[in-house]
Amino acid sequence: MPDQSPPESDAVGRERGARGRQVRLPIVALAAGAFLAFAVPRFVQPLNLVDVLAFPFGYYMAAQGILLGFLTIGIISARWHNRREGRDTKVS
Amino acid sequence: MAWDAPVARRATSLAFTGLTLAAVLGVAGLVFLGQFGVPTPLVDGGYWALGVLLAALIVLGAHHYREAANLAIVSGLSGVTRVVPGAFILALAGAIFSWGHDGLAFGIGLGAGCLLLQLIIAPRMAQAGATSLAELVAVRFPGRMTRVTCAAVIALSMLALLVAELMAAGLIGARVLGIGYAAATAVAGVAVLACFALRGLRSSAWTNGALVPLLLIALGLPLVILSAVWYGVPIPQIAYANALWQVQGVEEMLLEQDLADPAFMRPMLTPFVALTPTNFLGIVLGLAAGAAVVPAVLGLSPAAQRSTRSARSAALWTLAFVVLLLTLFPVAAAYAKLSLATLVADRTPVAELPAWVFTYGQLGLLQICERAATDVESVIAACAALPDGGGALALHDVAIDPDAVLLAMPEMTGLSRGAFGLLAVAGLAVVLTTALGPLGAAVRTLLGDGRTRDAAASASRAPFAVGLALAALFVAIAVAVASRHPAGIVEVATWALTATAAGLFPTLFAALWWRRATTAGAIAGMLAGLAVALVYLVGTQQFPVHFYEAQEVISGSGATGDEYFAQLKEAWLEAEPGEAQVLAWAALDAHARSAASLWGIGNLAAALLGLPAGIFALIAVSLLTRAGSASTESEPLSPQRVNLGA
Repeated sequence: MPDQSPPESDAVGRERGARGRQVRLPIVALAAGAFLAFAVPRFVQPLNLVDVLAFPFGYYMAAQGILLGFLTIGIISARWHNRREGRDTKVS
Repeated sequence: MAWDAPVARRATSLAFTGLTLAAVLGVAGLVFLGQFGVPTPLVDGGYWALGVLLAALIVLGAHHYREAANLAIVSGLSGVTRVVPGAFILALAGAIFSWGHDGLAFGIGLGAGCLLLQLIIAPRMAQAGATSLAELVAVRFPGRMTRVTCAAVIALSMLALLVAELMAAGLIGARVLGIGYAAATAVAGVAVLACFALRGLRSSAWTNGALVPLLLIALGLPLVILSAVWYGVPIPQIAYANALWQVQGVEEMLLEQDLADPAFMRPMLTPFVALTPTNFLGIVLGLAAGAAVVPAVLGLSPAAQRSTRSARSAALWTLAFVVLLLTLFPVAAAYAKLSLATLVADRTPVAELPAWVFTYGQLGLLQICERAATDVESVIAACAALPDGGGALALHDVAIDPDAVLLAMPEMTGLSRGAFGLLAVAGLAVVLTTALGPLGAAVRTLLGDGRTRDAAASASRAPFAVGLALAALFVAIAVAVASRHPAGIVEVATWALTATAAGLFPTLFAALWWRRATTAGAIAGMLAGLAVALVYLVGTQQFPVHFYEAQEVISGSGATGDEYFAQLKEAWLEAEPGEAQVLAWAALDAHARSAASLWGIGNLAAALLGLPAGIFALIAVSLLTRAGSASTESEPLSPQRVNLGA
C-alpha cells in the first residue's frame, strides 16, 4: 500500500521499517502454544504411563510442563523478534 | 529524561521489599499478640485491617514515582495482577483439590492467555500506539455505534469480573472477621469503593505488582516448609510428586475399606472425571482468550506502550511470574488433599477432629454428613441420622467448599497461624487491588474516557463525583450479585473471562491483525460473541428448564426424549400449590441444570460457542460491508494513524 504520510525523520523511518517487517503473525510460536494447550491435555492418560521426576508424565505436563513450555516459547519468540527488529533497524 | 533506570530500579526494589517486609512483620506482630492472650477474633480482624491497609498503600503509592512503571520487570509484575485476577488466585487450588486433574484446565488457560498477550497483543498494541482496547477500537473502527457497543460489552464483562473479585474478598472477610458471607461481601464492596476514591479515575495501577512478591512468599513459603519437612526437598514443584502418589495410595485404601464412595470420588491423577475432554479444552480456550484481552481492557502499562521490544519484555516478565505462581496451586491442592484424606484414613473420631474443621463449618464452608460442621455434637447427630451412619467418617462425608481450600490449607496441613495470616493478608490485598481494575475500566468506558487521548483528557476534567457515583452503582450491583453466591468463585471468574473473550477477543484481534475488518463487522462480532456467550451462560444457569426444552431446536437433543424429565415435569404440574410444588420445581430445575447443554458443552466451556459466533459474525459482516466501508477502516495500523485519530 503506498504510504501517503508526510516525510518522516530518519529515526521514525527506521522505526517504521522495523515495524513494517514485523507485521506477520508469529505462526510458529502460536502453533506450538496451541499444541501445548489443546493437544497435550488430550493425551494425559497414555502419558501417565511414563514417570518423569517421579511424576506421572501426563499430570506433570498439565500441572507444570505445559506452562513451562509456554514460557520457553515466550522466551525464544521474544529473542527472535528482538534480534530481527535490531537487524532491521541496522539495515535501514 | 526525567528518570534514571538504575536509580528507578533500586528505588522500586527498595519500596517493594519494604512493603513485603512490612506485611510479613505486621503478620508476625499479630501472631505475637495472639500468643500473649489477645483473643483470636481480634487477631483475625487485624489480618483484615492489614490487608485493607496494604491495598490502600498500593493505591496511594501509584500516585508517586510513576517513572518506575517504565521498567519492564515492574510492568511485568503489575501485569500478573492484570492477567490473573485475584479471584483465580484464591480459588485455583480449590478447583484442583475438588476436580483433581481436570482443575488444571484453569491454570493452563490462564498461562496460554499470558502467552497470547506476549505473542500477538502487547507488541502489536505498542506498535499501534494504543494504550487500551477502548482507544484502539475507537481509532480503528470509528463511529458512535462502535464506541457504544464496545463500552457496553466492556462494562458488562468487567462487572462480571468484579462480582468474582468481591466474592473472593467476601470469603476472606467472612473467615477473618467471623461475620456472614453476605455482610463480608458488602464490607469488601465498601473497601473497594474507598480504594477507588483514593486512586482516582486515571491513576496508574503499576504498584499492584508490589503484591506479587508478597503473594509468592505467602503461598510459596508454607509449601517450601511442608516440602522440606515432609519430603526433605525444599522445592515444592518437585517434592509434591510424593504427595500425589501418597494421595493415590490413600484414595485406593479408602475405597477398599469402604471409606470412600467411587461414585463421588474424583481421583487426583485420573483425567476427565469431572470434565469431558471437550469441556476441558473449552475452559482452556475461554480463559486463554479472556486473560489475553483483560489487560488490554484495563489498559497496558507505560512500559508496554513504549516500544514493541519493551512491550515484549514486560509481557515476558509477566509470563514468567504467572508460570511461577500457577505451578504452586497444584502443590497446595495436593498437600491439602493429602491432609484431608489422611484424616479420614486414620479414622479420626469426630471428637478429635482438628479445630479448623469447625472454624470452616461455622462459616458454612465445610459440611460433615450433609450438615454444616458447627461443633462436635452437631456432627455426631448429623452422622447418626444417616442410614449407614455411626461408624467412622468416610471421605464423601466431609465436604469442604472448594473456594475455602487455599485459605484452609495452612491449618489443614498443621502449619502455624502465621502462615494462614500471611495468606489472608496477601490474598485480601490482591483481591481488593485487582477489583479496582475492572471497576475503573467499566467506569472509564461509560464516561467515554479512554477512547482517545484527547477525549481522555477532557473526560478526566469531568467531575470526579460522577465517576464515583457510577463506581458506587457498579459496586452495589456487584455486591448484590456476589452476596447471592451464584456459584463457586472459580466458576464465576471463568464465566467473566469467557464473556470478555467472546465479546472482545475477535474484535481486538481483528483491530490488530486483520486489515479488512470493518466497523460494522467489529460491532457484529462484539454483539454476536457476547450475546451467544451470555444466553448460554445465563440460560443454562438461571433458566435451565426452559433452556433444556428449547435446546432441541438447535442441537437435536433435549427434553422430549428424556423420560425422567417428563416425569418430573408432570409431578410439578400436578403438585399442589405451595411447598410440594416448590419441591417438585426444585427437582425439575436440578435435573434440567445437569442436562441442559448443547452438544455436551458445559457453561464453563461457553467460549466454544461464543468465540466462533463472534469470529464468524465479524468475518461475515466485514466481508459483506467491505465495499461500502470507509477507506480509513482498511488502512493498516500505525502510530501515526492512532495519534492522528486522537
